[in-house]
Amino acid sequence: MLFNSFEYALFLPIVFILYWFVTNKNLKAQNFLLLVVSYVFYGWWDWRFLSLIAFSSLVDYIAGLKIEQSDKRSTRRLFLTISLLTNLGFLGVFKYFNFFSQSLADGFAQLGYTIHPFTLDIVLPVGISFYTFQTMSYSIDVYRKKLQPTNDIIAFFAYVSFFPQLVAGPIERATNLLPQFQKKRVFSYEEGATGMRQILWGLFKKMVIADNCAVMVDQIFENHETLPGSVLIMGSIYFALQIYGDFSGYSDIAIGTARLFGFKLMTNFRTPYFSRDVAEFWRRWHISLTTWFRDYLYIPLGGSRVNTGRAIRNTFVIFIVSGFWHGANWTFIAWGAINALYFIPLLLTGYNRKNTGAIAENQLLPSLKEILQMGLTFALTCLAWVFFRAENINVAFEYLSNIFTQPFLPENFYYFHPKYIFIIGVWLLLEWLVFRHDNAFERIHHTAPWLRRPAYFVLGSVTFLFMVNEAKSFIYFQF
Amino acid sequence: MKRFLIKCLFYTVIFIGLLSILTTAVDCGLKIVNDNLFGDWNRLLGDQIKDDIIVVGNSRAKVHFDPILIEKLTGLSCYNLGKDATDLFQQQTVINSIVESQIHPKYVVLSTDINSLPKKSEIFEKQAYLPYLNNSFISNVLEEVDQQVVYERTLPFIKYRGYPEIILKGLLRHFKKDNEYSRTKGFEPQNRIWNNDFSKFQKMMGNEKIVLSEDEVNEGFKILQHIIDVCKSKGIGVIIVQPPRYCELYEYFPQKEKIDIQIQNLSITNDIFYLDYSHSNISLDKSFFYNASHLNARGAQIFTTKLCNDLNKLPL
Repeated sequence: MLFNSFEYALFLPIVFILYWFVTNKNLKAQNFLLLVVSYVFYGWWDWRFLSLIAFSSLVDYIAGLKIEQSDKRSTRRLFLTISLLTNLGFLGVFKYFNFFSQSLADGFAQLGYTIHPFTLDIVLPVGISFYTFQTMSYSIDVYRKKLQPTNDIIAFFAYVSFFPQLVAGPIERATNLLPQFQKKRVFSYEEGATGMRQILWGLFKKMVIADNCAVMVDQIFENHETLPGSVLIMGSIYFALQIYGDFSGYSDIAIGTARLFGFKLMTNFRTPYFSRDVAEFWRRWHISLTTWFRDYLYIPLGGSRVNTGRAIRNTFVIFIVSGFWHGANWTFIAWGAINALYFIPLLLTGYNRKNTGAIAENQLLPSLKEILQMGLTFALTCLAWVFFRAENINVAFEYLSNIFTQPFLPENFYYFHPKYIFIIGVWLLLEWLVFRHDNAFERIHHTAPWLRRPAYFVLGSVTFLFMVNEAKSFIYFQF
Repeated sequence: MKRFLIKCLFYTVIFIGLLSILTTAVDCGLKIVNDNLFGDWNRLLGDQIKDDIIVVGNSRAKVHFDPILIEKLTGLSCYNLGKDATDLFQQQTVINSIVESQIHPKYVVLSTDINSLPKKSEIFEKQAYLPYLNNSFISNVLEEVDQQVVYERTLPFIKYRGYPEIILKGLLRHFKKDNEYSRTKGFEPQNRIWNNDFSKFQKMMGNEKIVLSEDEVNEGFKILQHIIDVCKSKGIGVIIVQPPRYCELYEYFPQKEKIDIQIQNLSITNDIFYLDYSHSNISLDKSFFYNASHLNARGAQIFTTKLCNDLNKLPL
């Protein structure tokens, strides 16, 4: 069930009514309702996926209790290993098996041996990369004694399958989200209103920005061999905006929806394209994933508090694994490696923690220096995005080389259509003026009603006006 | 909670109300627009088409049949309502509109060939239908092709999503008259010469042929029969015409002859006229076409003249 679908428009109010009017007196009933509706939501794609998420949830629930019950380190480690192997095993089979099999065959082919890759004819379950990471964080935090495991199986299953963030994040930590299932939720008007605003903004980003940019991106990437260099550059920009609009839009809808039910999810994006360097970009982009890798992989490897060689190695490991998390394709690994190459100079020179303050704090516009920094960071990001979007490595390199080998100027301005430039311009202006503040959605509440209310109508109408005709799914569902 | 629900309801009602007003304003504006997309529909559904003959079909109808020439040579007034990329199923929207209007033509000339039979999976230039989705004789047909039409005719403004230019056009029409209509009573002559579309097609096809399934053929003929029945029930005569296409194209349609015979039999059974120009001399000469499926302006003139000569021989 897509957030931008009629089914969801019916689903959400029904669940809302049942949650606050039918089950509100009983916490267990409320959690059970969330569990049931979350399974309905997830099963809407394919009911067969439910068995996987249920099994993963059960394994981690039991593992958490067993880890807590034992004092012996080896036993605790054993149950942690079972949890990790189960979740990584699911990922390995459903997501990466065919990639490894094909890569092995290709590797042998390079050496002159022909082997036929054994591939599995299976569908990638939606959201598997998200909920497996969420449940693994639970097991690891229990093992590290950062969290008490729960013996409330309903609350735990509901935490794993919580529908707003199930299929595309944010990847919630059990320390943040699970306790919210264990205490009574009270409806707050401010939270509800803020949630609705955030949903509206998320829908705008997804349906207007991302889906319209997608039309251009598809055409440009499909015809990259013949298009001029300026159009190819524009293609990478469109894709940067598409993926941001799509993913951050989804996150906003997820966080806004959770607010309607009295839950606070973590922020997943902080206007990353206004970053002054790549390190700052990675503190603002897909925050739930980057912090997950930081806490569960980077820091255990020693982080940056090791010698230079290891620090570089750890950085490469994190970015490549992060790339690989996105998909079973060498392009994602390349994307990760490129970002590692961007990051390492900053790390080695200590500049990775330079830009940690707010951008243009208390100022309407950034300084010239900040504009140049943001421009450069954005350009580097767009270059890397070409690998993320391309079908394979060869296409990515071809795309980039065509920027310089093809004639630069376009014959017509079809790919620079005023409609797209206008939408993107207005959106970036709003992002800068309003949404670069962490509490933007709350701040809007304090704006004058004569300004605020027509703005909601205009935003809603513009979303209707400019949305493309077919409800497009979210890019991150494929991960 | 109460305050939240009341506010949600308030905003929803206001939003839907304002969108409904906007939809009505856009609908009304588009219904008086006179351009190539909306002009012909508006005339048809506004009972402004009072011609003796109406040509119905796909793009071949639109570019092959010259209504001014037909009027000149037969003495019968004519209007061309050919619509690009439509099959017989979607052409029912035009037939239904003709039948529902106050003024009926004497004859419908139905431009039909093998490509008219299979049902397409999408609606080309759907924008043209949008102001008229409340007309059930149009939406009932379109719903079977695109199920979103069900939502689009019920919920306000949804149908105009993704068409900001159309919305603007509809709104501005209330303030400024337009006249961007460049056709001649629906006819759009193509002043073009033979291009390389056919060679691209041949390269793409290789040795493959275009074969329709039995279901596609049966469904197509069912709809054709239905169209004939509907027209006859209102006293409208039907003349089926198969316009010419470039002869080399027919090699890719191994079922053509069989289907032509079926059309012939259908017309005999229904006691209607069937004129087949697919093997006329016109189809042998590339200079009359701009691609293998469509006549250019010169070819259309020659074809229409030939058609009129044959129409004059019929007891119309």
